[in-house]
Amino acid sequence: MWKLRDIVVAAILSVVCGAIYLSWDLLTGIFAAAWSPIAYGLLNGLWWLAAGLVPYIIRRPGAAFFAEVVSAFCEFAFGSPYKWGAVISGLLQGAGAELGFAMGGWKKYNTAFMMLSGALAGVGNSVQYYFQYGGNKVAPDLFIGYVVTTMISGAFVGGLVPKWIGDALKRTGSLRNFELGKSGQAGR
Amino acid sequence: MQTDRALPLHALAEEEGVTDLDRGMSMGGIIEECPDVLVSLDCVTVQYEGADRPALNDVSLTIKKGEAVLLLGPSGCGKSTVARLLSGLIPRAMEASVQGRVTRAPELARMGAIGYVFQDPDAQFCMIEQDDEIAFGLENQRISQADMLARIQEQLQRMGLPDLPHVKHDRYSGGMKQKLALASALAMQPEWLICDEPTANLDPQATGMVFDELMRVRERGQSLLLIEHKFDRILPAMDRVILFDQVGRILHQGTPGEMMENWWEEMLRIGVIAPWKARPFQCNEVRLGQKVVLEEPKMAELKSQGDAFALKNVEVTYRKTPVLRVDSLHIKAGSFTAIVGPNGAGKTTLLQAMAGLISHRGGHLARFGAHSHKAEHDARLAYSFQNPEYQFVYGRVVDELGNRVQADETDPKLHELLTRFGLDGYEDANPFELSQGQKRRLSVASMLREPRAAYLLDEPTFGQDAKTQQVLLEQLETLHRDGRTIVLTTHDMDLVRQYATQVVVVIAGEVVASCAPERLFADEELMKRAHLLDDQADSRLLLEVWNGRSRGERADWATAKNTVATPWVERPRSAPARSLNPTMQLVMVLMVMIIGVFANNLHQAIALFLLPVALMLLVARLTPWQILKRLSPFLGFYLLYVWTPTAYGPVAPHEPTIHFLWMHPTVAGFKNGLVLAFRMLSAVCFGVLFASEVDVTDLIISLCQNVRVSPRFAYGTLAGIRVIPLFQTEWVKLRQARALRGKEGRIAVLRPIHYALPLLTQAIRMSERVAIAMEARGFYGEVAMKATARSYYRIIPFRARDVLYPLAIALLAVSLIVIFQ
Repeated sequence: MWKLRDIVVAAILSVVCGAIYLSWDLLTGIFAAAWSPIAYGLLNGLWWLAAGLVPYIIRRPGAAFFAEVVSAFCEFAFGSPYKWGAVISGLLQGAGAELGFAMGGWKKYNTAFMMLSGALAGVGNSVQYYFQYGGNKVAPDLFIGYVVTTMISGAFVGGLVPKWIGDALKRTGSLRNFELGKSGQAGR
Repeated sequence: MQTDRALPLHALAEEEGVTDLDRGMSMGGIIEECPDVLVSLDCVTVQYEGADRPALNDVSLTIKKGEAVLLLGPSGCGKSTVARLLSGLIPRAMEASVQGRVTRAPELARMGAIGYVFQDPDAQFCMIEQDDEIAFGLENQRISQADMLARIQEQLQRMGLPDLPHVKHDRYSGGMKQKLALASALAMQPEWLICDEPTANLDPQATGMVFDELMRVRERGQSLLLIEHKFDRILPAMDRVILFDQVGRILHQGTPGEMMENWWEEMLRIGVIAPWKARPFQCNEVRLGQKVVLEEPKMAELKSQGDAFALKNVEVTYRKTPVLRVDSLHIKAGSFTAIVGPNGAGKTTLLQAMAGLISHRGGHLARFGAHSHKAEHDARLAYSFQNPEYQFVYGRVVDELGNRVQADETDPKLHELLTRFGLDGYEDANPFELSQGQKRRLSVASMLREPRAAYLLDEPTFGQDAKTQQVLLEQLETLHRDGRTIVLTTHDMDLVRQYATQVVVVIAGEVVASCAPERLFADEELMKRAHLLDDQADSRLLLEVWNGRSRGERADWATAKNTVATPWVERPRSAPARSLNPTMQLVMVLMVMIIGVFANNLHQAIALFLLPVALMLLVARLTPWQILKRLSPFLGFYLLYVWTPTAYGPVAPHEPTIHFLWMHPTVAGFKNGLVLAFRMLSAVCFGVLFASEVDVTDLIISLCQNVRVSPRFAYGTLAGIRVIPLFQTEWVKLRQARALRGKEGRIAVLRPIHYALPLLTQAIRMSERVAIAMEARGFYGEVAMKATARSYYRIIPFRARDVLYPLAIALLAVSLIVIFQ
């Protein structure tokens, strides 16, 4: 059951992630023009940081989807060059990540499930790449390569990095009132 | 009727004994037999989840209707817990186990019967504009829209806040924000008002403003519970003072006069008040403390050093707007200098310019005789930020203190510092895990690790309990005695009186005086101008609105006040497109985006790009120049989208191509790229269109009203989005703090998690406070869960044209695709 503070913290963290996405939009846009789509896929995982971080902290059904959509909307509102493309990315990547957590019954948030969700969010990203950003126009082997590198990037940058951030936050003691902070101290 | 059911405590009345609140159980009672009792606690003990000792220890007290009670005690003594418990926030919004019996008068069961004002002005709002803010609580009470308008206007006028709709409150000063918080609470016509340190973040004048309001509230007979450290001024309005000890027990209670007379020494001892505080009811004489008089040889040595800081014609600008001007300022070596002035006047800017944290334009700035022109780190200085967390880089207290990862054996020097600041035993703790007081002590202890010529501190006593304040000031005085220069910013005039040898007054971005404190205290006119007296609140209110803001906005304000005379009849809307339902505009954009995927040739893509351009011109009424300006930043991206398919497209067997590195550009690929680029442009245009037509508050409320999204998610998200501007300022401060750490700070950039932690912990703490403040305003139960259960201040229309317009645009997009097949 979502508490009000879960919702507010999800929204605030999503806003922060939205700002990170925007800077990533601008950075990668400038540097990655000459890269092959396969290499470009490796950059993708950062765009679903919120879809890993927020569910890892609050651990509620729908958290990944909610956070990714809100952060993508903020990315859009802050002036992302992808504009509505960013929001659609949010919908698809959020759905992908949510599917991963749903497979664990929204109860498992260990390394394996974090990486699985991150990788599945990468599948969502690839769907958009295929239909909207010209994935159907590049050579097929390049597209498959893109999907593979995007999923790998998703598993690490979109799955393990949020776990690592969440654990660091837990050590600061500021998460005492959230599910992550409560987990592991139950026996005390 | 419906409100009665909303409070679980009422429904589960008359239960007694130990209850586990986590299981959703609660206890409490309604006092029927004693009609004049408002609330009472009977042997109540409260322990927060995960805490190792109770926050409140076997407390019994009774508060009568119409009574004004002041709670006093050292920090962490459970004062706030009492307020949260009595108001029902514990256990509704905060998990804790409660033992004992809590009883409330029946009228407190009504939704919004308890008004709550919190300490942090920024963390208790959840809307963007002031009228929405007041309306939020009224919506939770299901007040009709017409009544809301009347109540909002009444409160704004009463508080002397600008009586206009659409005023964004993030521009308000701290004092005005607290007045707005008070207005929001009072608009709900509460039976009981609870204020938990409402002035803790305010300068003396803003504090006076809030106290004036509280006095007026008292005159109307409002029952009041107040938690406040700066109580001098409000004391005459209180009926009773309850004093708590460190472990959450009631030490004594009595009338204000009796408590100040008999319990003052005890309050000093347990750290309720700082030792340099003047005792109320007898503070009319100007008490000058015994200041350190340096010995002759030391004095001579310092004299030879001359000025620690000398500024001449120094100007600091922020985004080309001047924020600080110093004609001439000399701070003597070995002085204890206090920088004072109103909130937002530029005190911190001055301190940072002196420290070389920010660069200045023109003029001369000399530190100990050495001139400097740019922002640079000076090893002779130590600087402490208002938020100590920004300076933390390491994961352990002892590493933080030593400024490098320590081996197992702790350096005895570090250990001595830890003991001196009462941090022994916390060597291995995470700095973020410490209490506010411990964090501040740690940051000051790390300043003292190596001797420096000058120590600059930004509001070192801000938000600290009396005990921590005392430790800090003792240390600073030791340094001062040793001939070091101390410069600090503060609002605490008692501190200035006791310790400062020189005082610098900053008003509205200008240093207006630099003199001995005695001279300042004698100059009543200057004291008033610097907001250092608290007895003249309302007259300067409108000036304070734009306190420290740009002149352009001030001019806008003046015109707005003259032209928008009767805007209250109905919420006005500006552009014609704004009257379209925001949710349907969202739906429209998403539909067109999906249709856009089927644009596979250049004609289709160009047609889909021209569609939103036409809408921007005709519906949003943007000029071509405005459109061009908004599209231009993304030029590089269109080129990228042309390039990728060009270089990486599949190459047909006989197609001409050049192999260059791993790329093989083709003409067919180039055409595909153009299609893609125009599709992107179309998406961008719809983005610009949406942004120019839809107000974010309207969108979120529309999602609630028209699509029945749960209000908790809608309003909770809005509350989160609201804090964006706060993050920008936090980010700047964090960067400065890290720059100050020198080499270690730069290495920390390579560990992004350490860089992000202060911001994220801040975000998490803030969201908890915001959520509690929202629940305190009645945002729980049915009105928070069901969109149909609450009333609305903004009515978002949903008419036939709101459906027809998006459908027509979508159809148009489809036909464009078909025509240009």
